Amino acid sequence: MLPPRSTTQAASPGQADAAEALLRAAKAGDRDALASLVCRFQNAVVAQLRGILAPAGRDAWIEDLAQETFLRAFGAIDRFEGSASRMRPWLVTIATRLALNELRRKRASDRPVDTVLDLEPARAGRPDTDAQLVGQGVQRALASLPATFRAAFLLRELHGLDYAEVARILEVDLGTVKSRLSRARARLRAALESEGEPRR
Amino acid sequence: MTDQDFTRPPREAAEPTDHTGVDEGRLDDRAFEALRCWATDSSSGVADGFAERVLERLAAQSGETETETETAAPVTHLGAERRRRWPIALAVAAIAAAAVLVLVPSGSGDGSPLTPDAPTDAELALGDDAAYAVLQQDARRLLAQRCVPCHDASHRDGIPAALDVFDVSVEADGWAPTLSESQLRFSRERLVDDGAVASDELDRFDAFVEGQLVRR
Repeated sequence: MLPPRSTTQAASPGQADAAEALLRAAKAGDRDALASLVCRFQNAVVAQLRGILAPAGRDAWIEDLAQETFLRAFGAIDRFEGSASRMRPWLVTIATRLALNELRRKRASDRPVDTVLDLEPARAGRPDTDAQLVGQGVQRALASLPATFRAAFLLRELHGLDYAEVARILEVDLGTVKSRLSRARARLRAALESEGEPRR
Repeated sequence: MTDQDFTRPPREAAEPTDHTGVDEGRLDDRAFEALRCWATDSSSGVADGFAERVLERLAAQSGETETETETAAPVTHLGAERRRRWPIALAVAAIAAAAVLVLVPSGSGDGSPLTPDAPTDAELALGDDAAYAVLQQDARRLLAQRCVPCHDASHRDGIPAALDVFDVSVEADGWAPTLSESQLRFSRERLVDDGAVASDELDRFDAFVEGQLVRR
């Protein structure tokens, strides 16, 4: 069974206050606060990196670049002027740039993007659960897209950045973002259709 | 909602009836659910203790910052081996500098160089990795002062096209090889145009450029 759908809801005032306090403590160098920030945001950062890097056969970079994302953020956190709610977009932006930069630098040795399942034999095996089946469909869809398309798609659909933010991060115009999202969505739908009926 | 959740973004006014006609609108429920499940599963792929490892690296960086000189190289990703060589390189550079001071006769006192035989920065950069490393770090500092935020991936206003050329947030020696020769020389012109760079700093930048080119 797929996990239950979470509902989108704004953080309560208490949660928001706690998040702001955590951010202030982190800016002051409080180690526990920094650790809390890592725990809060590591899933988002890792998912973004995996979505960009795994289809290029760069799974091995994920942990290293996830660490690097937090190190760079913490190195510049005193310059971070946004509210705590902007931390996640900031972090996934850093992660995205790191991942795309690494892929550009190592482009010549990149494996073809459609070999992701070959590179992950454990994941490519016969799926045991509906979630694995769905996961393979998503991976196949991501693998069929260029890295910059994957980045745009994940920034928008997974992390909720608005179109203008995605355009600014990837330095493309709004129309390009829309066309990339359109193509990515179509690929995902097609991949899921090929997996059969959804399991709910 | 927690920060770990992957929740559906709110609809934007631009979708799906954008005038370009290329945006086909949001993911349907099924597709979004699949993406969320994939993300939740994917993000569990990092081994336990991730936060501790980040903080260990952060502490290591802080320690290096406190103990090293301004020209020392901080931590770089995918570069632990290079990082370990930095103290050695700096020590070699210090010894070489001390040897020059001890072994070479003192200058004439008229403002001329200590000795005609003293190696210039450019000469040092060509053959001495330790000397080149110091020059490269100085060059990075100069560029960082004038090229952030566009050339800084850690900055929210970093520009991808600029980062393709070089990225000052990539430390140690990883940032320079991405610059072509013409870009290296053009960056020098930018420093000149800036007008705030001293002539001796420009000389050292020139030495860095030559040192970088001979290492390609």
